[in-house]
Amino acid sequence: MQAVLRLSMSEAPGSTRFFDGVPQSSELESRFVSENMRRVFLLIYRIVGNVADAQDLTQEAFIKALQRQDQLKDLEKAAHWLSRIASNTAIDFLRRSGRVSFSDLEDLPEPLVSSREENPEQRVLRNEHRERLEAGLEVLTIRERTALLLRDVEDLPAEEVAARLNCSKATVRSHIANARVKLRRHFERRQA
Amino acid sequence: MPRNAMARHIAETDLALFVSGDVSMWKYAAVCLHIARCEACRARVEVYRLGRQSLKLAAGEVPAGVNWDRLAAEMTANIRVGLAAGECVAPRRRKPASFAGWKPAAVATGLVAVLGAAWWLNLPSSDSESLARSFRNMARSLVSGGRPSTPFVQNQPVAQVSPDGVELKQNGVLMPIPQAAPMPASTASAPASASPAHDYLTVTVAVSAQTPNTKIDLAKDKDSSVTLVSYDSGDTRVTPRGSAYLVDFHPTLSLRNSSAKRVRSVALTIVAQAASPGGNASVSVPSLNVAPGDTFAIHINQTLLAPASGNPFVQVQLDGVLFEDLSFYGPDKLGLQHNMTAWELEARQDRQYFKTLLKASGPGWLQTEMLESLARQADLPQPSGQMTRARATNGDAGQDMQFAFLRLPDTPVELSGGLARVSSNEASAPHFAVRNISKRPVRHLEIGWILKDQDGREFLAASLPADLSLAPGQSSQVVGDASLRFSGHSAIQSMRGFISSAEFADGSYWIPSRKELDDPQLRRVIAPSPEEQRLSQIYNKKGLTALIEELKKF
Repeated sequence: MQAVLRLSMSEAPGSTRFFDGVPQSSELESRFVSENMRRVFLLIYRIVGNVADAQDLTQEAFIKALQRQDQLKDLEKAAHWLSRIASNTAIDFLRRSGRVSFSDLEDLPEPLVSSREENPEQRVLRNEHRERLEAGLEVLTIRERTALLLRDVEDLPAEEVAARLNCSKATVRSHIANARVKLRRHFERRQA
Repeated sequence: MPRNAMARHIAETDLALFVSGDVSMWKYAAVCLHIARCEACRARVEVYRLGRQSLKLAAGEVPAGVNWDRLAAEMTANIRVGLAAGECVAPRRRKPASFAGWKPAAVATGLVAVLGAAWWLNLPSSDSESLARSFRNMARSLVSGGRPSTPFVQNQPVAQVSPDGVELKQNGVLMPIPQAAPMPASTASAPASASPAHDYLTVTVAVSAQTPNTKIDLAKDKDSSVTLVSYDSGDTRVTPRGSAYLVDFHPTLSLRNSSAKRVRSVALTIVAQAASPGGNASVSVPSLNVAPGDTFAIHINQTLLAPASGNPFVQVQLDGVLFEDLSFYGPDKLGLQHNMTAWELEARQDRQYFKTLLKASGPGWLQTEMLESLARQADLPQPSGQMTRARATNGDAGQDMQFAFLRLPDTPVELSGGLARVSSNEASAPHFAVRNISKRPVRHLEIGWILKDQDGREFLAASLPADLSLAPGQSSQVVGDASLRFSGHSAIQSMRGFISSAEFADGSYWIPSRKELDDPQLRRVIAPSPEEQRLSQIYNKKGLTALIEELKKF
């Protein structure tokens, strides 16, 4: 049994510099945020499973990243570095809370607004894919889901997934295999 | 391949891992050989391959019902405010002398303990559940020196509540009360309590840079155990800071005990922007003794950030009231009921000690004790630089450092092991092994976290609350996501932990006795209880006779 300490959030010294060697620029920061926000939000959302928490954690991940930008040595790896912060933030959250709620989705009143041009058939297909995925992910355990997303969506090698989940590579493989088998069975049952 | 070998299909999990190359070389070759001849397994592999592609494709879709543009704009604004908070809130609030953790009122010369002065990386969402969750997660052990309550200043608008309604006065002149500003249309940035139904006493103050503090919306719970008598803005100021308002919030609330029991402590939440760091705080006041019908003042001394867009406001809400019989009233979003109860039990213990001392040894010994207490308060070590707290992340570098433990003789729970990740000036992600050595199940613990800096100064850095269910004899692990960081060049030399209080499953509490707290190692780092501080201040300001009279009231 593991209890979770509920400590104590408060302030950390803020710095809005953006990457060593580059002059302070809110424009760069804004671009960094806007270019990566959707990807980061979706990664976190798929891990934690509800919009409200994903929103909180996405904001948190960006603030962490921007406050710790001096830790980033290689600009080329900024996206990967941000993904790591995002997934760690989501995983930490799951560790703390130990639960996931999907109920918040229904509370959001606004319909989906897409800026992309697409015909109705494409939209239906896309929505079907999304719904299938969300239903499928619900049958997985948190660890299975997280391992699968990091491996298949983020394309992280199993070793790095293991490092992020703080478990062995063998355990990660087991989670990934179980997740894929469960998803396949789930989709087959739905089709049947 | 022989027919019997063909009949033995590849294990399902190996097929599932094969598509991403997550099998050993030997297994990979075996699968390749097998699927070259086995249609069923080949088809299965294809299913897994398509599944991977499909997952990646679908994972890029925004959830149903989400207006992405709106959500992205909201998050961007909150991130901006969060970063702005780092620039303008932290340096203003932080004072080395104001830091302490375990007993929130321990450092304050007055009795207003300000807890959780700002939420940094804790970003609650708008709904009440999320707000409650965030309150529970917010800082509970951060103390900034509260100042003693000040008399009402009548040159600012003052809202007064009477049975006939609400009056707004300035310089003693009755003013019309403006209509309360409508809450921001985007409910995502409004606190849950901004909804029309106020379950608990709530004061909402609209703020703007042009005309600060002129719009006051009062709402009160008619059945509340504590009701509002008046609200005084004090020297509250609002300053534009980029996309946010910096609110130096210094009002005084006059409250009445409307219950039939004496009030022992009160906690309030203060929300300027629920969805952003730097926008939330709380105030708790221990060591009260308010008789039914009596009024008492709470002075708030906080700096907050509110979004400049929409209709910014600061909302103060009653979060909890502890009564003399240890019953509790309030939503307890801060999760402070345990602490407030522990303060009260400690206060009783201390008063009893001083009464016994007075009776057995006379006023001279009581006086000596008070002088020692005042000296101890003045001598408490402080960290050499600022200390901040945040959530730890997996990405934090550093090495594991073991905790040393202080074991109090009668502690019901034993700390048998503990680690935290330490990187020079930062300690994070503490883990503890605990064992219930009492005969009763334990449901809550508070663990004191003591740090020693490079100059050899030890101080209580934080209190870690843990909810758990620990049967007698049972062991468990408690893990935390806290991160404590010195500013400047201070480095962490060592850490110690101890159980500072525990709550049993039957609702009873264990707190250290005064004898246990007399441990020289603890006395060096832990301030006297809030009640002892209050009594010593009475002695300091009013003399021994006043102190003796005060003790007689209990």
